Amino acid sequence: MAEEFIIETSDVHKSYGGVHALAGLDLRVPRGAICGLLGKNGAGKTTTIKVLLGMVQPTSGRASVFGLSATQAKASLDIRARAAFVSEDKDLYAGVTVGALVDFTAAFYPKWRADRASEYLAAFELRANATTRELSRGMRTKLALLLALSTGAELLILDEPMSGLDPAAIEQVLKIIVQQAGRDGTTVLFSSHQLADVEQIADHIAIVDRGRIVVDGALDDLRAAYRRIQLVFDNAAPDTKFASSSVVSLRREGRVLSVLCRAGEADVVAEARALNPKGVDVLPVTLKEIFLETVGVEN
Amino acid sequence: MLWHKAWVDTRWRFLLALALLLVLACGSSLTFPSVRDFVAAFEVPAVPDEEAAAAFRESIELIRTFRGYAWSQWFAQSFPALLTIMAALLGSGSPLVKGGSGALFSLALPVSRARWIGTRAGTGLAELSVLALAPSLAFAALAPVVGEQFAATEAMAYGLSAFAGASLFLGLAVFLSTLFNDVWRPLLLTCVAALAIGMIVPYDHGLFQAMGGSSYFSSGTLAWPELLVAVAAASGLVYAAAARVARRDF
Repeated sequence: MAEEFIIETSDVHKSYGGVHALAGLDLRVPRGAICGLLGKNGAGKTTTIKVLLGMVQPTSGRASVFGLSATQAKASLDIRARAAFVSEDKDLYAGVTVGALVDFTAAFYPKWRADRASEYLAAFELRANATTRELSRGMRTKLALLLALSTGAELLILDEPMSGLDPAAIEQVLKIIVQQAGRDGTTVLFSSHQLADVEQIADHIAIVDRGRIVVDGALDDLRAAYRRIQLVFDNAAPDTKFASSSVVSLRREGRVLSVLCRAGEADVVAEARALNPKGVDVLPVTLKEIFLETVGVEN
Repeated sequence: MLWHKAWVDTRWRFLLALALLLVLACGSSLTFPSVRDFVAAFEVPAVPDEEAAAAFRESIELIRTFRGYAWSQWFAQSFPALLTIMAALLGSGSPLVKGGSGALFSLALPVSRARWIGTRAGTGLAELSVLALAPSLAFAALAPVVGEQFAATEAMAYGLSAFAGASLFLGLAVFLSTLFNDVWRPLLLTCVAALAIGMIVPYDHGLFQAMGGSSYFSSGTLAWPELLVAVAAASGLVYAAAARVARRDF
């Protein structure tokens, strides 16, 4: 059975004046995935999210959510009825009580889960009579998450959801996101700079750089798709190049030459051994390595 | 819920404006006996300009009756100017301001941008109608207190005239609020536009004369053409505001 994609964008461009925020973005997020959207500051993560929610009109290209066009006003309304969003700034109405904001938000979602709202109010230790002005950034983040998680949405779009949270709260939020995805089959797209957090819960990764997706796939597949080959020499590592097309990047640090390559590394290992190193190790890669190398290489 | 939010966003402006207008209207009503007594003993001084003297005598004559006093001192003068400022105040500040409090939260809700703007403008109009009618009816209610009569229907006619005219400035403020991300520039520019209209358009054919109910006072008919043009222009400005917000990136 073909994989069903909740989010699909094709060759999406967005320019602000002469600045290209998105430059041919192709993103696909499968149903039920927890997808981490990674990228450096200004890479296009937030613009991507805003295009999906109809907050920004792309200059060209196609973007759809639930098979509905995100660029058409009517379809965008239907998308937003089925998707919940937490913005990077945790931008909520000022001076409103937590309880009033919960009631306000509930009125727009027919599938609103009052039980979940109560559950998260208790879990996040949010007082219903506290106003949003009284809340710390971390507590505002929790309130924004509570509102999003209680909508009964099929898709959660979270822009930097962990920003402003302490480590204990981050752990709590990560657990709740996974729980939500597990019990309701909710698809989650979240952007983050915290690679360790992404690696902890995401099963799908999309890395965006300069407005384009440079890596997109299941995290396990990505990990399996890359290897680090570490060569240690007696003296300074040679300034060399590899003929194999599997090589993604090379890095020399003193006596160590580090090669990031795609899986099927036998030809790279053979080339490496021909350099007569003292040792050759083939190591698995972390998400951080994939991120830094792919973004760095693309630059 | 959108109506409730629009009300919460504007309620303090509205309540302060209502309190101010009611205090001024009631004060104006209750000071009528003092003014009447003063005018009764007043002799129009001889002035060389006969036209000016005639106008002055006419003003004095108007003040001798409660109806003339209410119209000339309140409905035709202070009220249109005050209501214009209140309309600008109520219309300023869009609920969908880039970088504003909760704008992205609002935009993420399954609500069209046109509905946000329409609800805000509708709430502003409802509040403006109360600001127009309540002080007007206060004159009718307080007339017996000073031993006079003032028909509620006449008070309503003046109130509706002022409301219809002021709706133009509310619409302008709503539109300008889609161009600027703060409250103050739409407010200021709307007041400047009102001042310009007052200075450019001849008074005897102008919007402010229609808002003041001049034709109703003299002939018992409202200045329908001017008022309908104002309402149509207000509708056009709110429509333009919704269209502009629909195209905007946030």
